[in-house]
Amino acid sequence: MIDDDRAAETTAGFTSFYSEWREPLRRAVALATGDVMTAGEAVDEAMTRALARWDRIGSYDTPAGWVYRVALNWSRGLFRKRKRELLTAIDADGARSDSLPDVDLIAAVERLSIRHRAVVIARFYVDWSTAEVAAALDVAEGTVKSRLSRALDQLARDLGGER
Amino acid sequence: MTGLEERVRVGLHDAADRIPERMITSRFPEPRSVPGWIKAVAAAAGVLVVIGGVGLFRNGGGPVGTGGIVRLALTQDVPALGGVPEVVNSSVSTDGFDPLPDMTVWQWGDTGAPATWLVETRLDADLTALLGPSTEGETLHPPAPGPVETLVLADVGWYALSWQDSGTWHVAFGFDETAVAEIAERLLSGIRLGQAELRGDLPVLIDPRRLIPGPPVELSELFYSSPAGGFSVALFRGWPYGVEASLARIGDEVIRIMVNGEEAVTFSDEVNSWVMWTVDGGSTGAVESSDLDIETLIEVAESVTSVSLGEWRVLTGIESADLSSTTPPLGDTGFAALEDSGVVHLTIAQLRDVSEIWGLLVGVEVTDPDSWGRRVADACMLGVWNVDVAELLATEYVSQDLGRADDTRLPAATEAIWSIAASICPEAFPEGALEAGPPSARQP
Repeated sequence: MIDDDRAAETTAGFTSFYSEWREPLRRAVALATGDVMTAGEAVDEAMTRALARWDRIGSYDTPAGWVYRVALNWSRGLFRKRKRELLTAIDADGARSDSLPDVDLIAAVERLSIRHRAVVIARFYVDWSTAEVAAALDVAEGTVKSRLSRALDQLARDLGGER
Repeated sequence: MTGLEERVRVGLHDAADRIPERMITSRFPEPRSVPGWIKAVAAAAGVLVVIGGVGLFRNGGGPVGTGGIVRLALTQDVPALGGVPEVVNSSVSTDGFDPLPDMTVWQWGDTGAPATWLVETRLDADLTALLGPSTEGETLHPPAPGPVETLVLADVGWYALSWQDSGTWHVAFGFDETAVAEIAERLLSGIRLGQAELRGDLPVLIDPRRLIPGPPVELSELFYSSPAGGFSVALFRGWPYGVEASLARIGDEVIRIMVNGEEAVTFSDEVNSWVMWTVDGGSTGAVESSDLDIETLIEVAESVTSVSLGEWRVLTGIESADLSSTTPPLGDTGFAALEDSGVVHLTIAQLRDVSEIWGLLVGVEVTDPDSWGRRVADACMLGVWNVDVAELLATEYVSQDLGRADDTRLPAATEAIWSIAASICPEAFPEGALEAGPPSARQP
């Protein structure tokens, strides 16, 4: 009975987490990997693994960071297997015709390496602190700051010197 | 926040908002009314997960919940339909099935009239109780409650169609519309299941009422890919059950097979063993059998396709052990789901190595290729270079192997799982992580 209760609590905790984070993470992974089509699959793969270990993952400060990282790992593995280049996250033609206000910025983000892009997405889209980004990506906070700085430098250059 | 940072933040949110909640593609230019049913599910650890992406089916004219042949179609993503569907019900009741948790039903067409439906449900929904044991193909099938006809499955990568004749379900799948049409032609002309009429501008539709049962040739265990490449054909008595793949075995013995002088990819799903090989320098052929009666299957494949599959032989155990440590690629054979299913297909040599590492460091002998396939996949995907992940997995695996927790073995197990991942998937490690060594090397 105790085990059943615990399992129910675990499931409920994960369900709440899933509801809150599945969609934001799918979009974040889509932006970071540039593959809208497989981002949902990546997040679901990561979510499945999180659920299997939710007793521990759920206790983390930022479980979503863990899922984000695993989803990115899964995506990289998939891309390696398929020997394919990262696709463009946003359909440039569609974006232009749909009056996306900052196509230049999106194009510049797409030109970042995936390592830099993952940090930029986590920081400015998911809105994690640098410490949370560091935990999510399993790197030192100094590394996050360094990558952010370099990414912003590159973006500034691409966008005409603005910083 | 600087001006650039604000611009990045706003721009990313704007871009993310434009990512559709559900990917609607225009592969089919307009909603179709596709009779039949579809299902693309597989079971893993008691939780059904999704192989395919999209299901289309029609309820035979009756409203949802009152019978007809409304069945399950599960998707993670991407309805390959044009237009935006209307949500008509969040909890459909079908005959024989209870409503699915968190299920959404989309409808194209008028409620109550013949329409096309798409049902989506959550990834983690446990549907086992609804569908029965996953390894029982028959229980996954609808109990033929009405005019079950054809199905069309569309995903981002492949299409499938299925039909029923004489009580047997057949499935074919390929990678694009023309491929599926070609499948239909090949199946119907080559395998002589009957005659078909390709209707209108949707080449994947076969009117099963035009099917005439073919000769009593047992082809439900054949998988074949065109030598011309581009598509694959499968005939099953049912769905391919599970997607967890491992090395092919006869009984407990793992086998390897040489075809045309090259090692074929072999693996087993939950029920059957498969062999896949390269034909004509690129495309892939495959056969599948519950007892790996490969002679018969290859003979059938050759007679059906009029293509010589070349010389082949089953390797002896000694030859298998001497094979290179590189697992042959599965290739574009319609098995993306297998390839991505969370199992690394270890070669004999790799299996031997990982078993030895685990045995030497942890003191437990584990030689099951399925177990190691999953463990290696998780180690490489979750990121075993992270100390927490390494310890997490080590704890899991020690508990699994011993049937109880044993903290005294955790340091060795942590090092072992790191070493195993480093040997199998070094490319997955981030820069510098390999050089940093296993967790023990980094602890003060």
